[in-house]
Amino acid sequence: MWYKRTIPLILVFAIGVAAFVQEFVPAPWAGRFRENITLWFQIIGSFALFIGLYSLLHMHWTRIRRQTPGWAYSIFVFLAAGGMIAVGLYNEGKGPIIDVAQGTRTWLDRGYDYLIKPCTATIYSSMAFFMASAAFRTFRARNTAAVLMLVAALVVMFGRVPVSEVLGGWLGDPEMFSRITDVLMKYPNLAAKRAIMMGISLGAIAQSLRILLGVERSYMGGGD
Amino acid sequence: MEPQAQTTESPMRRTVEAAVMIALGTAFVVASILCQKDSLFGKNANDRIEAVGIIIAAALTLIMYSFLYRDNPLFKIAENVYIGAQLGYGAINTWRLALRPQIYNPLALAPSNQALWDALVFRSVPILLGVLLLTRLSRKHGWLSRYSYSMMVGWGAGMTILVMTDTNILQQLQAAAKPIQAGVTADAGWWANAGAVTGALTVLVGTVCVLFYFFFSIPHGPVGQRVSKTGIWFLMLSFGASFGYTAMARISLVIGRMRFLLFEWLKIPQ
Amino acid sequence: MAFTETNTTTPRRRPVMRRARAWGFAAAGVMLLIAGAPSRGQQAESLPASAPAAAPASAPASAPVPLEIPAPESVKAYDCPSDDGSAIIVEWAKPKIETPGAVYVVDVAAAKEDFAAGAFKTVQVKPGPEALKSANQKFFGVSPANAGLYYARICPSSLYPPVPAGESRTESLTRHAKAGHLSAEELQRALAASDADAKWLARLMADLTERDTTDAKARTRRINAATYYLRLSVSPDGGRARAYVSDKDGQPLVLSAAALPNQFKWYKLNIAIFSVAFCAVVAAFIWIARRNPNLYIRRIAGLDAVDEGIGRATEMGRPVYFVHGIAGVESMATMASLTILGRVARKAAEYDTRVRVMNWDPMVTAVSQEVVQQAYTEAGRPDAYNPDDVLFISTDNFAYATAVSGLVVRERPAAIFMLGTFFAESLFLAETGASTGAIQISGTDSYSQLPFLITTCDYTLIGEELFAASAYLSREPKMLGSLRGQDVGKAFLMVTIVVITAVLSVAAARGVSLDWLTNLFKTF
Repeated sequence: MWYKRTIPLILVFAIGVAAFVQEFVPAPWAGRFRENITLWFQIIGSFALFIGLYSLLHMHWTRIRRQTPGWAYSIFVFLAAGGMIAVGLYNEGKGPIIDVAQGTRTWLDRGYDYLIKPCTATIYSSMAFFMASAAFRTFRARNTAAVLMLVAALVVMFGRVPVSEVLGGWLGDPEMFSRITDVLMKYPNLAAKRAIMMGISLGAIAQSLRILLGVERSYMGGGD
Repeated sequence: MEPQAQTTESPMRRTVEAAVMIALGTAFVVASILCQKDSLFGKNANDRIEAVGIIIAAALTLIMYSFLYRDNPLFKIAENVYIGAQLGYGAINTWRLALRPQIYNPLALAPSNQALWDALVFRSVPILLGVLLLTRLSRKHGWLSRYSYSMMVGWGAGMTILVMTDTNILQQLQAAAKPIQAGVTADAGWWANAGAVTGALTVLVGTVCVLFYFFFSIPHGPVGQRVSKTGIWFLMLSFGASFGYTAMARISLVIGRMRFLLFEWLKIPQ
Repeated sequence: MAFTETNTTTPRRRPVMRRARAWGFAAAGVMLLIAGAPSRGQQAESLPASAPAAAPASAPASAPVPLEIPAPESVKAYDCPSDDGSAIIVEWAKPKIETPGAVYVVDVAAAKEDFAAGAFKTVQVKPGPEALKSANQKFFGVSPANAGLYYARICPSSLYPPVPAGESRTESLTRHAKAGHLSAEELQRALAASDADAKWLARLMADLTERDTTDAKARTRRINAATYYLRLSVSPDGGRARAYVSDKDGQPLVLSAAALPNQFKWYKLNIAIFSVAFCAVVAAFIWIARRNPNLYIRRIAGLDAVDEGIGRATEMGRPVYFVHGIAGVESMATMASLTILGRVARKAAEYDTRVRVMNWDPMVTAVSQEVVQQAYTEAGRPDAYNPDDVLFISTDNFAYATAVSGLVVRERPAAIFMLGTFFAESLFLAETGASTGAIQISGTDSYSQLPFLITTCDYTLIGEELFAASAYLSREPKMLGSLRGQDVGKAFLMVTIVVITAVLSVAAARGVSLDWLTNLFKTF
């Protein structure tokens, strides 16, 4: 049916062309259009949160209701989410409408600092360990490309630690490894990165055009 | 790659792990009480709250690291607390930064009829589109949500064409458009000149070969395969260099977490 | 050409005038300025050569000022190109020899008569490389002639600001009530506001201030769009004494211009040409492909493995995981992944294999539900679709990675698709997946994450390959045509890089400058 698919596709095309054109127009109307559409997206996007909330909480609620294995852990999602929302709405007694004075340390801040921040920082830092196992995985793959990659990685890693200067000193030039690192970063790395970025942009532009022209419409589901 | 067999846990291993977990838990509690006792049992209520917070943060840090060994019940709890807390925090932030200033304040707290009317005129369409998005929760009327997200898709597509042409095509072309020439300074030695020329040639050859590797619609003949293969080598060198470069940056993050555990939780004097 | 001189302490130098007729004017009548005597808040006022009587008796009338004055025919005033209508440009030729310490002064008046009345504003320009048009390529382009032209950017609204004089709250409320922003009752309530109404009054005043700001913007545009009159002079002493650029009659040359909003950013012309040309090529190949559907497309291993992954999951009776990247629906990488999701979900539905979709963005969750539901419908099994299998996890990268990794180690999917834009969390996700032995197919447009995905995944779609996926998987002629268009774009880039590097190298060897060639790609 035309209203299920055709109109949304026309909307995609119209907004896409408008987005493209407004960037070339310096007149104030283009700026106002951009500001307003950004505000619209902010409003629409905030409604999307309800979909997210529903999706996650419904999944965990179903697990608890059906008592699937490990269902008890789902209770913690509700406890933590409920707790954060409760302290956020309580807002040190001021309620959800009024902001507390600047600089006040709220319970929501504490929740962020002591529940969210340590988890985020720890997971982020654990990448160092995962990198070691990833490097080991590459080491097991015995082909030229993998070896080339591993050697480049090891050289650059080595070139960035002070001990490389000692080894370099023994070989006659303390800066030997940092020089090799620079050469690797400056030439082959730059060449590949440039080509990848160009390829990505051509691919993304073609993808955009397919979407604008309605050639690619699988994201729109069915119904025409 | 062969699938790993589902881990079958022997009762012995489970017992040992449980014992280790209890021992570590006890050690954690003892260490926390000993190191934070001044704040925990002090007179200042604020200090007590912060001390409990630091102990929780330290526990979460250690539990999150335990996943590196294997999945465990404490990690499952921490993971769900993390998700829940993040969801709650995100919901409050959405309320504070978007829903309240953009919808609640202009409509519910409009100071005059004219202000309310203006807000309604301007905001009714996005609010309607926002409500339409929620129809996604219904199987039958879910198609209505297309009206909402199609606008964002269109905007993204239009902007992508522009941004990609600007940043990744023209700017890259400008950076690539450089003469291959000997060292710029007159007194540069033979090696420096040779290095500059070789470097520039390497970048040129590498860029062309990698771009060639991405050709989709042309059969790669014997020459083409060679060019493509060179492109792959450039790609691998680049990925390796990039890998090594990032690896060193991540180590500093581990040091950051260790500093938290040593100096804030265990209160070791610096 | 008229010039003025008032400062007797100015060291006498040999005058360097470009035109002999200037000497005639200089000898005939010296324009004297009353140094440091501002008029209506303005800077020093100059007197026309024809009114020597106004000159103070103390000023010597004999020696000409050693100032080089721009040629009158080089002086132009016009609306600033490519801007939003906030500036007028006055330009003039850079004299061959410049007096040290001299500045250029532009007089701006709302009406011609204001000059005589002294009711004008002034803008000073210090000569130097940054005052040349060539220093502002964004608005003036890359013409070599710009290196010989100075310019002044005149913003009328900053010289004639639209801010009304200080207004009391009552006056403001009354004014807004008259404009219809407040009803009579609201005005009464505001005027009689008690402490209990303080919050309401604060909101009302904030609303009215916002209206005033909007009005001020409209007034600013009107102020800028008015015609202004401009005169250019040179001053040896920071603006007190002036030598005016004059017309044929020896009067200060008066030009006029208005600052109007423009409809095109000329400095983005190259972006417009390149993007439109590339889109035209892709569109042309899409059109051609409809007639000639037999296009060759090379093998993309990562995409061939899609069916293999789903087949393996079916054999093992385990689910397939589809992990979206960290981007919303406006990202083309997300859109490319959604297309692959459609294919994966349809195959999975046909094989009766469970597919679970992990989402970072709530909006992408909604679209993914649409795509998966459609895939199940197309596979003839609409009832098998379970919305709970398309789940939103978290909008925080690491919370997302943690939860997905937790699910992966517990449910042990047989195949994991990780497609879209990723950041640091990609390694956490991919390593966890690899440790469970799942077949992993990843694809991303994030250059920085490619090394990690390559090392940990079985197949990785590198950058552009991710965008080629929809065409490759669907095998629709129109889609494949767009791939051919992409290839033409790549060929153009390859040839351009090689040819330009060669041309520039030859030019550099011969000492020829070809800046115009590199300027073609310059963006602002």
